[in-house]
Amino acid sequence: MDNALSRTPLTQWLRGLGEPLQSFGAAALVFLLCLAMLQWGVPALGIPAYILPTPSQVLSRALDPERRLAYHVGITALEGISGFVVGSLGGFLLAVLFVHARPLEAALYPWAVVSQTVPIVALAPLLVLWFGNGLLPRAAIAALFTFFPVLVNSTRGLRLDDQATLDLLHSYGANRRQLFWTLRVPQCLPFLFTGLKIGATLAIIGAIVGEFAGAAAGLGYLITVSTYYLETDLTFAAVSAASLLGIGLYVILLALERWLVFWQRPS
Amino acid sequence: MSGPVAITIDGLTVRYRAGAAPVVALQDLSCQIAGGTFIALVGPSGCGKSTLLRALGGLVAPTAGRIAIGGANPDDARAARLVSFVFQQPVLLPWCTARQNIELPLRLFGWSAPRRHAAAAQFLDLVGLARFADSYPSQLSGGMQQRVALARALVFEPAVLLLDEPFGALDEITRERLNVELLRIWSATQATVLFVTHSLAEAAFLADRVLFLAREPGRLVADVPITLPRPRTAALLEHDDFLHTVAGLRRQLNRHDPPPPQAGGRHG
Ligand SMILES: Nc1ncnc2c1ncn2[C@@H]1O[C@H](COP(=O)(O)OP(=O)(O)O)[C@@H](O)[C@H]1O
Ligand SMILES: [Mg+2]
Repeated sequence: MDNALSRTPLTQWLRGLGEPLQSFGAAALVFLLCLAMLQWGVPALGIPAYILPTPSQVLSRALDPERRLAYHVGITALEGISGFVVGSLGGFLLAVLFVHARPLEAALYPWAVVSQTVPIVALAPLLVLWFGNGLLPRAAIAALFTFFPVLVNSTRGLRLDDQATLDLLHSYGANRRQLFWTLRVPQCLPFLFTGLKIGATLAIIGAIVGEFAGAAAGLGYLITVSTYYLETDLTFAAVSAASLLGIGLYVILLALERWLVFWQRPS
Repeated sequence: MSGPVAITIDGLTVRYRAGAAPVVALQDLSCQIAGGTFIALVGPSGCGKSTLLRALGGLVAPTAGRIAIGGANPDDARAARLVSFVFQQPVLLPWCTARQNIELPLRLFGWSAPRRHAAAAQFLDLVGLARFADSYPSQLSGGMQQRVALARALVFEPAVLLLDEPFGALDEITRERLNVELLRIWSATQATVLFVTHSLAEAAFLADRVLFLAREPGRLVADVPITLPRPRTAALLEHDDFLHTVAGLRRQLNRHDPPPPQAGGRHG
């Protein structure tokens, strides 16, 4: 199928970003206030740095080359993102299978739901046993976390049948493949992105929690080790980096969504 | 398209299995439609008008009876690109521009890009939307969206056009304009048209024949020819002949579907 998804011009897309940036101002102010309180309020109350370090202490620790924060961020990002990609691909492809084979959905969907009651985090030691103590078990956890929201949302989007549209396409004699590419895939995109955005946040959390189970690198490892040695400023640096990683991934997806799902915006 | 295409409907019965009790949407309907005729279908809601169009378009299979579209059954007629629909809602793909929506059937038929573009441009022009070729449906008014739907239905020059209350969701002024335009476009084709409407004035203005359907079970109860001269333009709407024709249709309707007695009126 040739290009069914045309794009709005870049300028229009950029204009769309302007609005959220304005409302962003108030929230940024709150953030700066909190930073100021932590920087000057907390030491004034006599709270020691190993309980609650100031932002400047956290920042200088984050930039300390000996701590190699960037390296650990890279490890976690690699685990989280590769798990995210595999998990969302798996979730989407299974959703496609479900839509094309109802009996398969009837047989597998309940198990997909039941699998969600398994605390994936509790599987971490088991996955380490199976895959070795490297990146793989953490990526697997991230994938498991991503899989379900993508599966559920994609299935919903692919199934969203409007009788009139189906009638129209059938009246043109559209076959299943044409129906899939001209109707189901585009109409599924908004739902897919809902799933992806949930999945992205969970994938980073999954990778870090996976690292808690005895990893030798990554933000989860850094958090475990730094709390053990009461290097609380490093803990905070790692936690902040983890948040930024999650936010970064989310923002990338948001931008991608705005680009691909342009027709959902009120014009 | 090669010449007008006649339609023969013979003993058409359509039953829907809705839960325990089946619904008889159409019962033993027979009708002969000459090629190039403009037919208006009138009747209370639920009398099977949409079902009749869906059966003609091959979207629902007859329980009994036979349909021939230029000698072909509905499935073969569809495969031969003889039949095209316009629904009450425009049913445009929101991620496609007006041009891409109009090209949709051509893309599904596997036409080459240059051929698609040429045809789409021609029909965008015909419905007066050349300037809005690259607009998305959300940027178009309801009337303009329905023009796109009309252009999309016409773009492969079908021999049979099935319109199911096509302008029913639009305001009266827009509807009147689109009806005039529809006639203008139709007169340039030899298409056989079935047009479902709730408006007797619309039926009188557009059609060569008005078919009245009744419900429970859905059946044909009257077949009224309209002899108003063509070409018909907006001026006709104020003409006495037109008003008499509408009055005649109303008498016909009341005979088969009498209005409930008015409060304080005489009861017969
Ligand atoms: N898909 C369907 N399943 C079951 N019953 C249907 C279906 N479509 C229509 N019907 C019933 O068939 C009858 C005729 O419907 P329809 O053809 O839509 O009438 P109209 O278009 O004249 O309002 C109605 O009683 C309606 O409820
Ligand atoms: Mg109807």
